[in-house]
This record gives sequence, structure tokens and C-alpha cells, in this order.
Amino acid sequence: MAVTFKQVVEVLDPDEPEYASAATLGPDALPHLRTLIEGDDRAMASKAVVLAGRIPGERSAELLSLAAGSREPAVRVAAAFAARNLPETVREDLLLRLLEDSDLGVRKFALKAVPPTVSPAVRTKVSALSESEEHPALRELSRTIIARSGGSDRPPRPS
Amino acid sequence: MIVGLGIKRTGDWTSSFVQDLDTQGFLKRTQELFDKRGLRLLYFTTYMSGRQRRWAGVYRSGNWGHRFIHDMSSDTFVKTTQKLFDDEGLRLEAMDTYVQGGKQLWAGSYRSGDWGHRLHIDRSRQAIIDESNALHKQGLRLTTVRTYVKNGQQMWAGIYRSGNWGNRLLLDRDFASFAKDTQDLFDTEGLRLVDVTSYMVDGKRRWAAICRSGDWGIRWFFALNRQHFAAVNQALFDEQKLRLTAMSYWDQLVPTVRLHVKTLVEPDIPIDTMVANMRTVFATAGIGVEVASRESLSLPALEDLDVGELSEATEEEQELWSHRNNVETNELPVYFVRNAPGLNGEALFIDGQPGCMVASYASNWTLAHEIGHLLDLPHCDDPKPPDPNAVPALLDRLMTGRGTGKITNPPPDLIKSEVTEMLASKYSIDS
Repeated sequence: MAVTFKQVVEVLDPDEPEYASAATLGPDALPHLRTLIEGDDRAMASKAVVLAGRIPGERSAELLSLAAGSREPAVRVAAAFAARNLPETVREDLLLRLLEDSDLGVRKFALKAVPPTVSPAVRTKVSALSESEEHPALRELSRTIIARSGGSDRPPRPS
Repeated sequence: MIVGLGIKRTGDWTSSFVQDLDTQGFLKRTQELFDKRGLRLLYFTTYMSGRQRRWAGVYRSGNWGHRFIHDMSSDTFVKTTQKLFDDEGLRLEAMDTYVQGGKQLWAGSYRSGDWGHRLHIDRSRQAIIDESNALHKQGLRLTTVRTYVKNGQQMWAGIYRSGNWGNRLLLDRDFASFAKDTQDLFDTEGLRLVDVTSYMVDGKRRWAAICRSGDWGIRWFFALNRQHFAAVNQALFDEQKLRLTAMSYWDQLVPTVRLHVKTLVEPDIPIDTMVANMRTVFATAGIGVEVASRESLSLPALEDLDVGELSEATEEEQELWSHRNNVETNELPVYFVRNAPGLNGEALFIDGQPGCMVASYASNWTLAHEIGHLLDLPHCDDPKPPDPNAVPALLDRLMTGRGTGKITNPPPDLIKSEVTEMLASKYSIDS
């Protein structure tokens, strides 16, 4: 049975939505989530991003990518938060953008979404943050990620 | 807890209200309001907060002469009142009496005028009734009444003023009959409540009041603590332009939720509005809400809080919950953050420590809803869709799980079983 916009709004209206249950709406909910992500209600947009991250599939990654380009920090923060739920194979492109975000909260959640196995490109970004990140807790988190991946916490020297 | 009853009426004058000032602070503030804003003390009351004497006052714009005296013995008060009348034409307009150092003391505020005027103190209950009736026939109306205990006897004092309006004195009412009788007098005779005082008789709280004829709009309100009093007073001014003209404060045990507001980021809806809304709905359960402290927390890395999957507390939630400055046993911290991805708010016990978080985009009622959870209230309409066993939404209830932003009949309801649960919670402290 097709999922309606009203059904999607209904599961996201609560102060504390139950995302595991809401995710059972499945991929048919994604077009409606896109509408909410592109809308003016940042609370609903943020929740829509989180739900999108809980629905398996490449189209979810597209919505998180859309959210990562939002002008609204709350929506980008939600995208970075939700990135942890994406398969590692589709997470990298999103992380590369989010790790460069101007917003501290976005960078924090992006760092937290970095998978145990770090690609060279992501590792380079994280390594750069371990030196340049303005907030000490995020610098420390960056270094932990680099150490966890078995490398140095220094960015590669330019050749 | 100091609870209060305020009387408000329509009017177009500049008005100001102060409370919780010590004697010197009250004198200074009264003088400042006179000097800088031309405001005259209209009404005042004094009460004890812990072991400290405190004063509350209502001021209004005007151009009359004005005087305030305090800490007078009964004899001195009567003599001073007569002298101010004889020498300066000042009439006693408001008074209060209190015990300090074992002595019955008096305070009064006076204003210039041309009306007839009388002060009677140390009257028995029957005497004040008989005198007020007799003086009524002579064209003097009782405008203020106070009661106190002298040599084990309940005594009464009254201020009279010349006039030809309808007037009624109510004595020894319990709260229900006070509320009913003042409403009946308004409905049947057009009499407006103008003065009220509360006192104890044989271990029971009683109210005395004066109602008079008039054509102004009037509203009285009851508040569960002084913050509640100030908030309701301000709201009635903002929304209905009603001016405070009289009030009575008294000490009474009130189940109270004591909040510690800890702000990382100011929310879209002002915190004071959320607290006021919470007070409104909790007051329907007879529970007061008091903001015990306010603190700004500079924790940039926690402004966007990692709430994980809600199954267990995240490291960030644990860190945030550890900021408990000033929070005593059975008191509740509330943390205002910028984002909590996917949530408007949450209530958690971490290592047995209660607390809640509210995101910047939360609704008017999210704070009250989350505190409701901490007081053991579950959602009233779970399970929710898309669960096949979902029940209909109850959007007129505070504890709806379908989104407090959709509440349809503000203030939302608390049902009897919820009130019972809240009153049994250790976080509604009798104070």
C-alpha cells in the first residue's frame, strides 16, 4: 500500500518519534521525506533526515546528500548524525562534504560517522581536522580516528 | 511556599509591581519609582520568606501627595495617621500589620485627598461588622480590612473612606466559598472584589474580602508561588491590560517542581514562555513550578547533542547530565540545546540522576511534557502509528505521544490518574 504524506508527518510529529517503527514505512516514504527536507519547518526537516537515514537503500543516501547541502544548520547536523546509519559503501562522498562544513556540530557528527575502515580521502580530511579543528574535543576525536585506523595524526606533506 | 492571590482591574494608568524586597530595598525602590517615574504606592503587603521579612508593592501613576511608614506600634500608627491627616491632609490608603520581635507592628501608605476618612484597629469580629454597617449609613465605606491575633483574640482593623457605592464585607470564608461568594456578588449585584486578606482560624485558612460596586473589568487569580504570581500578573497585563490593585500572600505547603534551567542555546520559543506554559498546566494539578536557578553553559561541542538511538544514554548525554550545579536532591535540571537530531526533547535518568533536554525548535509544551515523563507519566496514546495496534491520538492531553506541537486545546489536560502520579513523585516536593 502506498505511503501518504500524512502518514509520514504523523510518525514525525511526536516530540520523541520512534524511528525503528517509523522506518517500517519503507522506501515509499522517501519522496515525502524529500518534501519535508526541502520545506521550511526545520524540526520536521531534521526529523525527516534522521528517518531517511534509517530506511535502507541508495535513495536514502541521496536525501542525506540533499540535506547536507541545506542552508539550515539543523538539517545539515541531522544529515551528519544520520550518516552513521548509511552503508559504508555510500557514506564516503557524504562524509567528505560534511567534514568540511563550517558548522561545528556538523563536523562533530561527521567525525562520529567515520567508519572503522577509513578510505584515504576521508583519512586525509580527518587528519587535517586533527591539526586545524578549532574545538579541542573535535581535534581529539580526529586524532582518535586516525589512531584507530592505524596511521599518523599528521596530514600528508604536499609533494 | 509563599502563595498569593492578586486582584486586577481595567485601567489606563502606568503600573508597576515589586516583590521579595527586604525593608530597605522596598523603601529604596518605592522612593525611586516616585522620583524617577512619578509612581505612587497603591497597595502593599509584607510576609516572611524563610526568616527574612519581605515586601511586595503595587504602584500607579498619579499626581497626589504620598507617604509610606512602617514598623509602627499600634499606638504610634494611630497617632501618626491622625497627625498626617491633621497636618498634611494625608489619608491612609493601604495598610498591613505583622509581628516582629514579639510586637504587633503596622505599616501604612497615605495619599492626599479631600474625602472623609477613618481608621479603626483592635476591633472584635462582631465590632468590625457592626461598625462597618453603622458607618456605611453615615456615608463611610470600608475599603481595607486586616486581621491579627492580640492577647489570644482575633482582632480586626479597617480603613474607611467617604463614598456612596455599594459595599460588602466577607469574613471567615474558606477558599471555595470565597471564590463562590465573590463571583455571586459580581453576577447578582455588580460588586467588584477590591481587598482581600488571608489568615488562620483554629488551624484552618480563611479569607476576608471587600467587594464594592463599580463599572470596571475585574479578574482575580491564585498563584502557587511568587514566580507564578509575577508571571500571571504580567500575562494578564500583556493580554488584557489589567492592572494589579491588591494582593494577599500567605505561607502554605505546595507540591512544587524545582527546575534548574541550563542554557547552551536559547530556543526559538523563549524559555520563560515554556516555563509559563508548564506552570499553567501543572497548576491544574495543584503543583507549583519554581525556577530555582539559571545558568548559561558554554559547551559548544554539546550544543548539538548526540542522542544516539534512545536505547541507552550516549557519552554526550552523560557528559551533559553531569552539569548539575545547584541541583539539590529531587530537583530537576533542564538543558536547552540547539539540535538533538530527530528529537524535540527527551527525559532521561542517567545513573539515577533525572534530567531533560529541550531542542531549540521544540514546541510550546515540550518542556512540560518532558518534565511530565520525569514525574513518571507515560504517553497517553501509545502505541502510535505505524504500529498496527495504534490507538487514537489524544491531542488535548499534555502527555500525548503524537507531538505537543499539535495540542488542540491549550492548556492541555492532565487527567486524575496523571495528577495522582505526579503528586506521588518525589520530584514534586512539598515546600
